[in-house]
Amino acid sequence: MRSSNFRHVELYLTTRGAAADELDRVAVGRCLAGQGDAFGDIVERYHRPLFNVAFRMLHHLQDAEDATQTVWVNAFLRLATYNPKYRFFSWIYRMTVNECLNALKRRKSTVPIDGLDIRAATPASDRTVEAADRVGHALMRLTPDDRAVVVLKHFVSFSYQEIADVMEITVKTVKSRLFTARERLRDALSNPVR
Amino acid sequence: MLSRDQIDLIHRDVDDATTPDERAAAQDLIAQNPEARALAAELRHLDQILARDADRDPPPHLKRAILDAVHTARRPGQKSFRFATPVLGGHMKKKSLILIGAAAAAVFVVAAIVTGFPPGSNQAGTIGGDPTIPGVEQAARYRGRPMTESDVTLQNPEVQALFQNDEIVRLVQSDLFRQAMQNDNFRQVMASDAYRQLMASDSYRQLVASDSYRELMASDSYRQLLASDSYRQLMASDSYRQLMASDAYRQVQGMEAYRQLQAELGRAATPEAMRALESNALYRELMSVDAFRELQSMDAWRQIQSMDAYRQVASMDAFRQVQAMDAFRQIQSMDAFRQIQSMDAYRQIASMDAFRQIQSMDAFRQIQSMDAFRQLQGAEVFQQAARSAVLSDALMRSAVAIQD
Repeated sequence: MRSSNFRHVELYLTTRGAAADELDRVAVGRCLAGQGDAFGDIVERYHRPLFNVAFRMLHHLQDAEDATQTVWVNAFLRLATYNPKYRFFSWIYRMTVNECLNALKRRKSTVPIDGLDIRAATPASDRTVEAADRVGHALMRLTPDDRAVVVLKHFVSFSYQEIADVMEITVKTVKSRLFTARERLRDALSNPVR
Repeated sequence: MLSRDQIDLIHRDVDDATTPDERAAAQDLIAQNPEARALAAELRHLDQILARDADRDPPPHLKRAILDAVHTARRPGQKSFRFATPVLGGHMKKKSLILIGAAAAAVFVVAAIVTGFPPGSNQAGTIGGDPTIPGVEQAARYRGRPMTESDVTLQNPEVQALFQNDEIVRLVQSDLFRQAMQNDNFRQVMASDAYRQLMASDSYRQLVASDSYRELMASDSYRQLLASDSYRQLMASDSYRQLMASDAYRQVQGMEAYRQLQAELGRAATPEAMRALESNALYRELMSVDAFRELQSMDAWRQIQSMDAYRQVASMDAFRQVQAMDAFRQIQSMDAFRQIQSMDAYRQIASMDAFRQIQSMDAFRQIQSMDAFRQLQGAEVFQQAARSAVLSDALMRSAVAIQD
């Protein structure tokens, strides 16, 4: 997808590639050795893309902030369990997607309305989203699992395999979800519901 | 009706996740099957819509909130954390664009050099400036005394010799040239000592005499890049000037690893291609270089990367095409190119407000591509005449007199 190429390149250089992996590995090692500023390095590199994943999954500014913060606290507490033979970005994105899916489950019990986040769609207080945008609303009409695949593919530029690794599903399932989600997304964008 | 496999193939093609054979098959299918064509178009349209949904900046307090929460949540017995504020000051994010940014700056450096500044002095028809060229004597007539209007007439043999070249005459008679010569900045650059030093350097002569230089100058992509508003805005920025003056930038620029990786970045038009770079030892090598890290930490560098103009330039197809040009890479690998970059004279010119301002002149951009202009620039009488509006007018009147 060339139209968003610059974002792809930026994300790639920020968080992926052999050098980024090496930076992660070293930072994690330093962090486990008790050097707190090393964890700050990791947060610095990933907090923006993770916040954007959370925002697109949840379509709610405050919830995205909360989810991002929760992910980092959990990452810190579980850092000793991280296996460095796997790539750090897969690990941290997996935690983020899972946290968002959990947040959506919690939200569902209090805000049941056809998969659409009513708080995000109703900008009436300081807890509202920053913009009731067309794409955001369309994304919210997807199932959470499908939305996660779309977000990771289109906004984080993950390959099918990387999405499979993050979501712990097969590549075949990734493609199936993605292709289905795109069809729904096209419909949602053609027939927006406000 | 498309089969499931065909739908899968089109999706993967749009995602750049096909092998070359699959891509060819997908393109055939799209070309021959209207339903496939429609699906591909819809998917690309969808991607364009999603691509317009820009990333949000996280709330400014988020990083601090995360680190405070982590600090609070640390396990009993764990060593106390002390987060270094400078680490969180925002520079890491900017580091993400370092390679592309460095490549962009390389284009700009080449642009600054090859778009007419400094001019070539080894062109036929010049009457001074290069004592090493047989048959061309150093013109020293005006040294030691100010040139006057009476020196810039057809009675002056050097002016006569200059105007024996019809192309030069036509140039001097042109409105474009008049516009340029009436510009104080233009004349200031022409008359600067740094400009003259640069013009006299072997490195510059080698550069402009190379096939790569000519090829780059002739490329549409390069011209598009130089003609863009974004490029002009970038050239006019203080940050760019600071960057050009930095030792770190010049060191990175001189690294073979950087040049090779930059060429690969120029060809990496897809996310998959970018991913292929992850196994690249060159990238790792660059990241371990002090100068590279120093470059990342420069305010000027970060400011350039945050400029919309910079981002627009870096995302231009023309920019990518220039990066991928063999001629561009060859120029970067030339010793002469690196020597020019290390010259104080070049750095002085690149940092001149006047130089940056004339780059945005339409008249300058047009005449700079003319051979006649480069020939004229090599002439001592022109260099002297360029020092004042009065003498410039006299030179132009002499050219008009030829026609009369």
